[in-house]
Amino acid sequence: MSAKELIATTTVGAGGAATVTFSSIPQTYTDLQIVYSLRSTKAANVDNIQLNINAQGISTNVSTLYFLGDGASTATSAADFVAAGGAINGANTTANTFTNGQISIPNYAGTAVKHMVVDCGLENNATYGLCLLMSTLWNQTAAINSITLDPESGNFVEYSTASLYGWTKGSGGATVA
Amino acid sequence: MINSMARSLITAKKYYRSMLAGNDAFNPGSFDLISTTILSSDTASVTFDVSTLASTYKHLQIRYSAKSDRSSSDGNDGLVTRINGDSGTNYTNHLIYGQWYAGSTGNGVSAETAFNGMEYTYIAGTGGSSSAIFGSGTMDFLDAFSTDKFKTRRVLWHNGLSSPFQQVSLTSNLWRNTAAITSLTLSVRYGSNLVSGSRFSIYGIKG
Repeated sequence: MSAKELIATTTVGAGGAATVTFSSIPQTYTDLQIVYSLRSTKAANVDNIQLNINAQGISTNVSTLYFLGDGASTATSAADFVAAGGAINGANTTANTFTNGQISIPNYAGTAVKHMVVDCGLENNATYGLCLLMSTLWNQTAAINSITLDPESGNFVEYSTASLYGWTKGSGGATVA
Repeated sequence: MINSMARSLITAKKYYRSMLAGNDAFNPGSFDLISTTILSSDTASVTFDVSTLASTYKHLQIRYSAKSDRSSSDGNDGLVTRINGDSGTNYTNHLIYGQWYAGSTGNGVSAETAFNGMEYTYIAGTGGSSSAIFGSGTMDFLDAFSTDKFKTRRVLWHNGLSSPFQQVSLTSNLWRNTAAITSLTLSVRYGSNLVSGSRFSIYGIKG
């Protein structure tokens, strides 16, 4: 049996979607992983993915440390960054191109504050393209039972996809704090 | 838990077609090894045929430990991936990296818009490193079989070297084509071969 199980997947249909939500997340895994291929309608190169965890509110109790490159230079910052879930293609980038990213969430059901690791690649047939590595802290001890991905300015376009996976404990495993 | 074993006894006069009868639904998992190639001799390229996977999987992942026969002063070689045999200049590549080179650390970016493969992933060559040093990484191809999207890849990698030129990176790649992926071919950019002992494993991920 695989150690990684699909919990839910969303494909955005015609007309787009304002958000993607994974709710009623089972508490039976050790770790979660969200894998996404997303694009926004925002008329820019990039739109930010905000996180709303346990329906507490967009970017509430969230902070980040990131390292990114935009094809021309690098930047590093620790901040209450709105792109806690990554940064995705906007409408000004190459057509048919969706950001390839993932959010890894260890110990999501434990009692410690929740740390996430985000890495994503925003491709574009130009010098500008974004590679982003980021740690995201959700400074809460509650178990995570829902996650909403919310583009800061636009909507997700048709064919955007996001899948939620759970990593199994195995026969002798247990969730740790 | 299973009690159908007892129920399936001849004396119980009950017959179950499946050992799963009476038990929780079986979840076969979502992350499956499709194939592993370990080179037994120096080889120019490795190709995975994924043409039969579209109905079962959504994403593909390649995990590798690889080394080139290139002998160069910086010890590196590029690991190039081509989709469906396309060697035209239809690929765009970006990366961010951190490095140690000639006694100094640093970081930077690069971009190229008309290359003939997915690249900006580097592995150890034979120059300046021992035969036991290999580069390693994980490549993710999302929505690999979609016909609505250009194909993208994200790679986290390390070239395996401790000297003279050590790099760790996140790479992003674009193939400007909406065709479903049917094959993935890996080769080196500057050298001639991937050396014996290089390993490539491809996984299918449901979604």
